[in-house]
Amino acid sequence: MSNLQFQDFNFGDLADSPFTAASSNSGQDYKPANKQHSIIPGLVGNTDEGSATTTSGLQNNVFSFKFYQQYFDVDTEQVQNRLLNSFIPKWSKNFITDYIQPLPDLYGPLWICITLIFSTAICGNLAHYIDTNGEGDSRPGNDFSLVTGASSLVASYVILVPFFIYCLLWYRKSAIQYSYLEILCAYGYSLSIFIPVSILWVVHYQWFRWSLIIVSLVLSGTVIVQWVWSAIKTDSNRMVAYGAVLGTLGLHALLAIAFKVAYGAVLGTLGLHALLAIAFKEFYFDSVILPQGRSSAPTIDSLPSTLSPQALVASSALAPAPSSNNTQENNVKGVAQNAVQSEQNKKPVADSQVRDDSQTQGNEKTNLTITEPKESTKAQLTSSSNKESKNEDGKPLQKNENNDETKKINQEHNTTTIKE
Amino acid sequence: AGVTPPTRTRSQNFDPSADPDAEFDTLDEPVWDTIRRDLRLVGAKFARVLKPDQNKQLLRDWDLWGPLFICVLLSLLLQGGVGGPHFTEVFSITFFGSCIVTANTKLLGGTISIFQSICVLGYCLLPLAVAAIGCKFVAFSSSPSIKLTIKLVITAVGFGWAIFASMGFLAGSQPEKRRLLIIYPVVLFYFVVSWLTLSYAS
Repeated sequence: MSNLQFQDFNFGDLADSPFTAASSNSGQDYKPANKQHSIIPGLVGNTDEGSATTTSGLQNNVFSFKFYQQYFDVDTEQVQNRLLNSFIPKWSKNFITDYIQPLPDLYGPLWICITLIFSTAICGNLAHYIDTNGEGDSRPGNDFSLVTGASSLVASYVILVPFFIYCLLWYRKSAIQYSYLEILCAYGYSLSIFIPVSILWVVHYQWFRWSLIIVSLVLSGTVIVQWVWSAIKTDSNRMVAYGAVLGTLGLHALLAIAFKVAYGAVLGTLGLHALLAIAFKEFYFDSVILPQGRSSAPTIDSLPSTLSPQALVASSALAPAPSSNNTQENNVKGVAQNAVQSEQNKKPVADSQVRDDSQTQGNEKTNLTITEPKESTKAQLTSSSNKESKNEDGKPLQKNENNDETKKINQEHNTTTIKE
Repeated sequence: AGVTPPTRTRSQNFDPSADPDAEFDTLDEPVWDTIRRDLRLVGAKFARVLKPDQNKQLLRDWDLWGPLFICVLLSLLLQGGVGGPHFTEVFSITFFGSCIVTANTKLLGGTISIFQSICVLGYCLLPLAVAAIGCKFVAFSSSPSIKLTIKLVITAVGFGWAIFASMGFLAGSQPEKRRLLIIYPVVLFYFVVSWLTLSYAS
């Protein structure tokens, strides 16, 4: 049957297709010459592939099983290699060209994301359980919603951010144009370090949690930055900016655009990665404080809406910041300021949303603890010590509270979640 | 009832007195007889899961009634509660989770067919359903830490049994270099269901 031959040709096609064969030219400028541009390798309607014409029809069919099977064509050893190298930065090595090309796989990103979702949810619940010393059997109101919230967060991150990077590289016609699936694959594997980190986050010491974030971010962020930078560093716009003899304003503008592209892409990916890690830590592991029966973890509707506009605002805030400053140090400071400002700008939005929810429950402590995670890092370190002192004060108070009142609050919360 | 004819033609459990035309005779039999026969088949599969001895038989006679019963039972046991999952959520995780794990096996080149795989994964959820029932009864005992320990032990035993049973069925059907890639999602699936059982069966 011709079906059997497809597998052979598939591999040959993918090795020759322009967007998965850049490994042979790593380090050189590689422009996709005359071949058709495709977002996804394997979906190209290559008619100049000679003997593969008859097979390329079925290869392109999105509804056939073979189309998806070609992205699961990996062995255990390959997956292990990709996994280990995704968070071990090596000097001047490009994760994508070395390990993912010529054949990106979807197995890794899919199962790493699912594992991350459940490990975050399980360990978040475990951390909460340990923090409350297992008082009572009543679960906090948002227990299972950690799973649904985490899945939205991780899925949107892994799908949208590679798409933006892909669009950026395509728009700027960069030296190395990774295909969308390769970027998605790299991002999926780079999330793998958060799985052990999320398990270690159960330990309830703020400095430990922050140091875990920093270490994991440095490791995986370096790997990401390496391949983003190697794609964008030869952006022709900088050459144009340096060499052109135009008006001062035009030269300055072009230089600013080059910095924005070259450095903004790098800082943007780092910033988004950092935001994701911080979101996990804050929303799933540090949202403990409230009295019995009511967790301060925000509900589902407030979670993605406060996070994704935040991420987008932060990343777009990074863009204009370098344009006003020429040095890189000022860039970084501007980035930090913009990020903090955007977080604080989002506070009123989050407050109003939370107030809508909490009006049915009449609990003003919700507002306090939800806005607390949104403060800047320094303020948070001081407020965390305040939180802990509040805990000790709060606990004797909890025992005096009426059980009926907490049950009513739980029921009202249940009805609100069901209405949603 | 739409599933019954395929299992009948494929089944090795034919009535010895039946001839090839027997399938047409089942239209006239009382409904109770049909139901009783199907229940007996499902019960036989339950017994084989609890004592994994004959591998091939279960693979050949797949049916989806057993997995459906088990998923509905688990969802009823684990739903509700304060901040717990809804029925839909547990059912989606169990039923569509086994579909996703099956799809993963097929995509990686496993030789087991889709429905056989769903059938096996669903039936091997039975120890976890038993563990959920056990956890519900434990809830009526006294001190919280003992309660938690017993629940932990019951769930761990259920988890181990489910893994052991499904490994027995899935062993021969995987390409050699991808064994771990196929086994890991199965382990993750049962682990997640065990966590749901431990947290919400009370």
